[in-house]
Amino acid sequence: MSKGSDPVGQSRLGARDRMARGDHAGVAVARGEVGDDEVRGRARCAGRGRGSRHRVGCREAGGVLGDVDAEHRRVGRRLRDRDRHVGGAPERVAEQVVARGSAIGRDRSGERLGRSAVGGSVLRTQEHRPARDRLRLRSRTGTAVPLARGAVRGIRDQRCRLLERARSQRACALEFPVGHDDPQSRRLCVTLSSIPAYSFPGHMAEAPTDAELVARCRVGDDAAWALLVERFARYVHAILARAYRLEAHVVEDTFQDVFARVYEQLPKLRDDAAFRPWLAQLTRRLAVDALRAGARERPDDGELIEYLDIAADDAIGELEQALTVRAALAELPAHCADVLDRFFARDESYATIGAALGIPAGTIASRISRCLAQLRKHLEGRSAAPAPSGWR
Amino acid sequence: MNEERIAELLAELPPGPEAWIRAAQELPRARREIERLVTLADTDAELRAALLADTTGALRGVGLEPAPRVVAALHARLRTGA
Repeated sequence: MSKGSDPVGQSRLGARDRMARGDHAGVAVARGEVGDDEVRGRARCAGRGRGSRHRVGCREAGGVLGDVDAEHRRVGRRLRDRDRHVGGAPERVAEQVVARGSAIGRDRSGERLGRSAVGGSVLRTQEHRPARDRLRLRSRTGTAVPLARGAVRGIRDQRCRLLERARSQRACALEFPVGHDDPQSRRLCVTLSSIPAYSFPGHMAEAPTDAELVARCRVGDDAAWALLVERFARYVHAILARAYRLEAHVVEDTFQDVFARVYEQLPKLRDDAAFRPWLAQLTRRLAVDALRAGARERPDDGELIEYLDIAADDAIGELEQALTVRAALAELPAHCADVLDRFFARDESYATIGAALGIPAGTIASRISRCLAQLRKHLEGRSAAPAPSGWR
Repeated sequence: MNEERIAELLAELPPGPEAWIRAAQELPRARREIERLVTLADTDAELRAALLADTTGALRGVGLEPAPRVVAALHARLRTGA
């Protein structure tokens, strides 16, 4: 069908162009998920200002406004229902809610609140008190009970386990006895995982640096190796597939070669903090080798390989920046990291994201908007602080 | 860096195929298991023959995904040791 006779196709092509120019909302049209008009409304949710126009844009898009309070109220209802249903373990749930609220939220008067407000029992807390003092549990009789140090540690550990699972396996719902296939349970999990691990002082909350991971890999820590592969798999894949434009079957072989070489040569790496440039160099060398191996059958490709190698400089520079953004993304609350990754990197539709996370598709645009803003702030904070080498 | 640029950069790194990543993550264990099987085969000719006859089954037996690369590596090691 010609472009002229296919307005939807035209719209999608236009959207792709807009996406290429940085208009990420064009993706939804390009995907055919929504009409162009609808997306214009959503674009205002996902990309631009946060004032009244932003809010109007969200309403125009038919999405529910990103009302955090409303979401908290919904979760609160869910928790209260669970309290009634489970019977034996309401305190545990309440502790989790109080714990996750320890670092966030203000009421209209500007006073800092625990997120336990979502459960209906608002706990007013002071901003600069130690974490164990801020963590208070309101019992059913309405008395605020300070939690013991051991309980705080338990919550913290539980929280970190939860976050880790949510991030790595997206299975935190298993923590709850309501069944992990239940969308409400998934949403509860995602919401509970919204406290960044670094809210808990004294715990190893931040992701290990590259240097730390490399050091652990050297002593045979398989978990560290798995994390190292997970952290850099996209980077290596992108260098091979996008910067050097290798064919798919060559990419697979070279991808495995890269990690096999990394595993073998890691003990020889002089500076653990220099892992990232070393990996890039190794990947480039193997990509060029793969191109040369293919060029044996096509001798005229020699010049092309040189050209690709030079052109790869720019592409890899771009990928470096992308990796820095991903590192910042990994430090966001899990629900934010997840939704941004799904929408932008995995190119999933609102419907798919909604089904996977158990949230209404109409709220996703506003969530993307909030999370993008949060990521930008986080990146600004990272660039302002003196950064250790590696992932952080 | 504005939000649109951040979005663009997020799209620069789509995930690779999960099977590739899993295979790379299993690399240390795969190498250890291969070493162990080869060591066992060094002292037991029958075992070596059995492993060569059914390398895929042997790898499954020790809980490894018999990816072509792993199968080839075990095969090569067993032949070299013979």
